Amino acid sequence: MKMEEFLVQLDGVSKFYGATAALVDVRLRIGRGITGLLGPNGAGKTTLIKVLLGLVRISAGRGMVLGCSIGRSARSIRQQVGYMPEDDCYIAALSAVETVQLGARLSGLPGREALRRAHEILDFCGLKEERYRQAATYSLGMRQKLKFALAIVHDPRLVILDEPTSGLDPIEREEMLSRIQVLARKFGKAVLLSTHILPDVQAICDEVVILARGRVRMAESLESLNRPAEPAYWIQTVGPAAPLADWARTQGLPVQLDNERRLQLATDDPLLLQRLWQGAEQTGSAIRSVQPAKNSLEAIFLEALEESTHAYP
Amino acid sequence: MPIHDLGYRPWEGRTTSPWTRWMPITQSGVKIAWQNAWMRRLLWAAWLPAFYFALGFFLYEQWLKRTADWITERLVAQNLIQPQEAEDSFKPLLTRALAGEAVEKLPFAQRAMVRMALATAQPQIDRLLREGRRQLDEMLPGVPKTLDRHTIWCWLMGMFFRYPQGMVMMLLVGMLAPPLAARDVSSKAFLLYFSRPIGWGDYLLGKLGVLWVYLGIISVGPALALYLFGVLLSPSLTVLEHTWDIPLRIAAATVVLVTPTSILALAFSSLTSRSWAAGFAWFAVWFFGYIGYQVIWLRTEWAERWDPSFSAASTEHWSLISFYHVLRTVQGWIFGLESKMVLVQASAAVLVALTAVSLVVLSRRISAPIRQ
Repeated sequence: MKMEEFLVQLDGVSKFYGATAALVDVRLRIGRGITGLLGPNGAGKTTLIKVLLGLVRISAGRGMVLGCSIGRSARSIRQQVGYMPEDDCYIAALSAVETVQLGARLSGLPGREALRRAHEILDFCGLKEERYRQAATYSLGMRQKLKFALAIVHDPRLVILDEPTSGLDPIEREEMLSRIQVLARKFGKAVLLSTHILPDVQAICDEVVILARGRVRMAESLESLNRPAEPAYWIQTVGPAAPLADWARTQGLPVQLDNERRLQLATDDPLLLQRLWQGAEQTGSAIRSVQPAKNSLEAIFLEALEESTHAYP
Repeated sequence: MPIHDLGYRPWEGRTTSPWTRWMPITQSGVKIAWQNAWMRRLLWAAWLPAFYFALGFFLYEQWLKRTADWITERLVAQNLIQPQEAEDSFKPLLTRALAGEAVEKLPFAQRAMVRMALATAQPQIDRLLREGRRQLDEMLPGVPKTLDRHTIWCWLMGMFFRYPQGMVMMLLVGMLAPPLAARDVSSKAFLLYFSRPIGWGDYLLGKLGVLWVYLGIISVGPALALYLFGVLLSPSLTVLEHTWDIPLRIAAATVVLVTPTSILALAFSSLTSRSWAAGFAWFAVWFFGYIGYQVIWLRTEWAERWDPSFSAASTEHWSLISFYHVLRTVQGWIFGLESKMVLVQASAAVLVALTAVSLVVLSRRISAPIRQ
């Protein structure tokens, strides 16, 4: 990707609150598509988001968001960015439709247009008749939808979502992820998804940034993270996998027992896989599935965190 | 899915000016406040004193008219002036003279006649003057010594701002301001506002706008209506010559009333997430300041009454502890009712200092949640 195609570029950005370092020398490039921002509590995710929005002054470094400097053009940035905060926040005494209309007007949409757009976006977000109720009476899931609507009502180029699926039931979670995908894939929005929920990242993200103790531990495409360090297959058996594993070892096949019913064949040679089928026939094992092995994002996440703990105790 | 669901659609319209982004905050705040039935009742009640004060304008203008009629009739009866001339030109000029216009400003040909009329009828004018003052005094004590139109109108306006509107303003701000920022603190709404292309100044202006709209309705509105009523009651449009500055004084008095009070009340609101606490602080400032000064003033009065040798130092400087009296002094000066400049300057300095401190508090409190 060319430098000008990156929507967010941070170079050596640091943020200190007194003696506490919230961000340290963050170097980051975020392009189009959906980028997952992962990190444990206190990793600096929210601070990073506030830096991107120009809400907090950085202590060192420089950065550009959508071609605007984060220090000098905060308003221009916020004109083009939509933000869904993690906090349970709402504007008291206003209904959802009034809240979204207000958000649209604060972003510069004219009054009548803002109302029309608010209804349209609330339809998109799945808030139906309840949109006329005060937001203070909403469940957590409904407030998540409302915050999402507020984030996208002004048609931003970059959407920053902080824990968008927390508090949602499985169906609502699927719907929310699908909406995010529609925005990114169909309408070309850049989405920065900050979350604790690794399956969400696995399901929809193109890039993953792992933040720990204010430092970027990893920034790679999900595709490359999904590729195992060495090519391999995962073989899932119906019964115990041990007899098949023992047979394979006697044949000199590079196998490793993963758990009671799964073994890993460390090769991408289809001929060796063919031999394993023969072994299954001989040992009476039933193979349930064969899949190309992937690195577990969770494993990578934990590994990165562990590294950061050792590196910066 | 609703049948009208259009899904997500890009928006490519023209955005509004960045300078007007505070307006939606004001509009939504005004709408929310309007839902409070007590607030609506208070707004209606705030117009009632205007009817009472209109009576003052009516009494004064009637006194002017009666006096001019009486003198003119007397001169006509004495054949000193023709009836037609008296009605067409003499009476309006006489009214202007009685309303305080210098005789030198009147047309040259009429000056002698007006001077003569005023001189010959002086005992009767004094009697009518006393009667006019008595009527006004029954309505509102403390009528100024001179009964020229400008002084009386300013005095009526000053009293209107000082007593009923001062009280209504205190109640209205105490009802409206506490939840304005406190509710945003408790519902963490700051992030929803400040993730938009607005700054804390827009937020502040938007919230103050809510107070200004309602304070305008109870101060500028009735005061200008009162002024208009006075103009309509007057026998001629020369009243505009005498009183053209009063709308400007109303505007200045409103600014003095509205600016420090709204900023102070909003500062209280930003300090807490509980509206009742902000409301308590607001009323406490008024109540304790007022009571404190009244106690000091009464103590001095009693000491002077019972002990003639008691020479109490002036208690006026103690009025600076009372927000009500500080406002009253500056507004009194605006309407020409307060002449002690040292006290006026000190009161103005208190208001400026209070406003500045409140603004600092507001800037820190509003921006604090998003900087954390």
